[in-house]
Amino acid sequence: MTPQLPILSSDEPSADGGGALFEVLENFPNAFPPRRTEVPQPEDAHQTMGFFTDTTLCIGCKACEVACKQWNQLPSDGVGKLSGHSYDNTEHLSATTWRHVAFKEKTGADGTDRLLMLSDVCKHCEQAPCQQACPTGSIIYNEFGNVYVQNDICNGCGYCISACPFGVLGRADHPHDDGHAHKCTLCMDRQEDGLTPACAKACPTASIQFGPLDQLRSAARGRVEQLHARGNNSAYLYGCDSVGDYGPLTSFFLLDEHPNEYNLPEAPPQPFRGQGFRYAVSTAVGLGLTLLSAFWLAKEGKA
Amino acid sequence: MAQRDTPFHAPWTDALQHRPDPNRVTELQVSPTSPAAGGRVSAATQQPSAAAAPSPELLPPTSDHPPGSEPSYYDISLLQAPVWKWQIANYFFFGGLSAGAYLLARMAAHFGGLRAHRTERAGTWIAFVTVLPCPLLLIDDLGDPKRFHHMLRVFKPSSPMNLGTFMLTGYSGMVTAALLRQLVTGRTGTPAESGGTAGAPAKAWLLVHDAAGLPLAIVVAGYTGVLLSCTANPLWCKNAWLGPMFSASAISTGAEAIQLALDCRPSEDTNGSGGMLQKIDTAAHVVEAGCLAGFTRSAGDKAAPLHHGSMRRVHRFAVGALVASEVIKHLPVAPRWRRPVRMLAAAAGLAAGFSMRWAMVHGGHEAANDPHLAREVSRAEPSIEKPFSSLQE
Repeated sequence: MTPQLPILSSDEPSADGGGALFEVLENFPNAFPPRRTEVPQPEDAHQTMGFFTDTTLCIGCKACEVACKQWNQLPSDGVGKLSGHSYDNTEHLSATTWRHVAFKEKTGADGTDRLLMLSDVCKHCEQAPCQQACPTGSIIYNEFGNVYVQNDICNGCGYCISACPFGVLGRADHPHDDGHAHKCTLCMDRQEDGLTPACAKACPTASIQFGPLDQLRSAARGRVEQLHARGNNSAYLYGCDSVGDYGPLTSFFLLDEHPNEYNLPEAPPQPFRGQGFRYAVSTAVGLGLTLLSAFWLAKEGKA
Repeated sequence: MAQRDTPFHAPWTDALQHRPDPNRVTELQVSPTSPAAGGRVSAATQQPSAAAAPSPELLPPTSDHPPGSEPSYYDISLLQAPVWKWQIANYFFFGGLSAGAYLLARMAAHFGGLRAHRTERAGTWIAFVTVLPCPLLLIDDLGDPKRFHHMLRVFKPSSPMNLGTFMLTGYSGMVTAALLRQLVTGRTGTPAESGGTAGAPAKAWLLVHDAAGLPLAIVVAGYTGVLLSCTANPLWCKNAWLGPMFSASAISTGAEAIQLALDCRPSEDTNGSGGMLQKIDTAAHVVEAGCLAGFTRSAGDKAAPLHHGSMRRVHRFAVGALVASEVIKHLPVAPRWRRPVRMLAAAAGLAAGFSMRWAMVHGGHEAANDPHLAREVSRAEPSIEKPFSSLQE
């Protein structure tokens, strides 16, 4: 940040040359603005901010994918890569795709065809296994309650990638890529300036909603009731209260079909549950065999 | 092409290069498939190896998912494949072997008599030499190797990788110190031998040194199994048998390496009557085989990559070599054949330990890339009321 020029106390140039110099010296502290700029804060600074993605409103325009790629300056995944899987050419979240729109064409028996569309994203779990797995301390919970990978610390060990039960993280492994793990940051840089994340901002139907998590959850529950009242009884919330081993997900969804139809896990495991027990049995076996060898050695020595 | 992607014909439909959709049912079969068949689709789907082609004019009506099939998303796995490759498989082997050899050498130092001196010497050498490639393998595996020191940036024992890195660092210091002690003093350092010339402080220092090294080596021997179990990979997730299996394998490969080294330079036949090394090797093999059986039972059909997948030959070789190692070791042979037979058994055991870890690491790749297994690892427990059951048929 370049220092600003000293602000003179009045607009008219001072006739007195010596007085002008004195004014410059008086305003000298203003020449260097404070390091921390004042940014607008959310109303409650410690509230968790999350996403509610309502797939019944999604029109599959992929504006969220484009906005995410553009804001975060993510590289292309390959031009002209056609998968043949309906409109889904992105196929999966990765190190360079942090919003992925899934498409599923479902053919009904009576010609009741419909298109399932879901904008997939990092779930920013409250007991995130990626955060627990990270050995460098790169993955943290930031001040918005979101899971954030600090790119200047990550060394690309890949543990978070195997730990995530949703398959969210990827490692940027192409030549000339940085070799680190990457995922959705919930636009932490935009949030810090009081802005809405890029995907939520770009979504034309408000399918992706952003805000404090408790407000999102009450809005989501109201939406499900509204859908049930309209006759859509298969609508439900995925990750609002609990799913699998996880409690509320900070980024949760309203779905219409079984989670596997959208390539979401039915009951995602938290792999670190039972870690202590697994350490205990491993240590017990190692120690037991070591002591057994000592016992046999002692017997041999006496012989 | 055999099957048509569109229900109509146009000049451009012949040029379609789309992959067949495994979810699109073309021939509906009446009898449902039992879940024991692995949830395979009973109705013929557009797999590349599909036998019959439907008539091009009329595609039969399909339901959402016929009974017996499962909801899926094309042929895309919901999980990401692990990024660990041959470097990690090799590290598992060398790190475990080093820890096992170190533990046996320390036990020989403190509990063995004069006959165990060669075991202790060879064990300490082997532990040092085999721990040398470990940090290099781990650093090479990183996506950004120049940031390897970030592993020690924080102490975070809730992460097996972080705890293991600290334990490995401390352990390699202990191994180096033990070897230096061995080289400098020219003595094995066993209390019995050093009792006359070394004072109490030296003996106390020796005990403290080895007491500190013992827990480090025990953790290094087995933490890699715990690390694998703390992933979402279908082959490894939450499997409590991996840690003990790796620990037992560490002891057995360490014993085999020491046995091989001792037999390469034959002196008087100290192990002719079946010494500690062979006995602990057998005991560790028994534990390892039991853990492998427990692992297979616990993983269920998620262990398919090891049994039917790309790693089936490597896995079978691992099991076969383990059994062969024990059989060969216990063959009744003439005394002059005992040494080569022992060496052969030790070599077979080492091959078994290496290939078991190779199969486990590379099997994980296949397991994560398999869409069905990826769904299975996150399947709700059948005893609990199935969530979303109203959405399944």
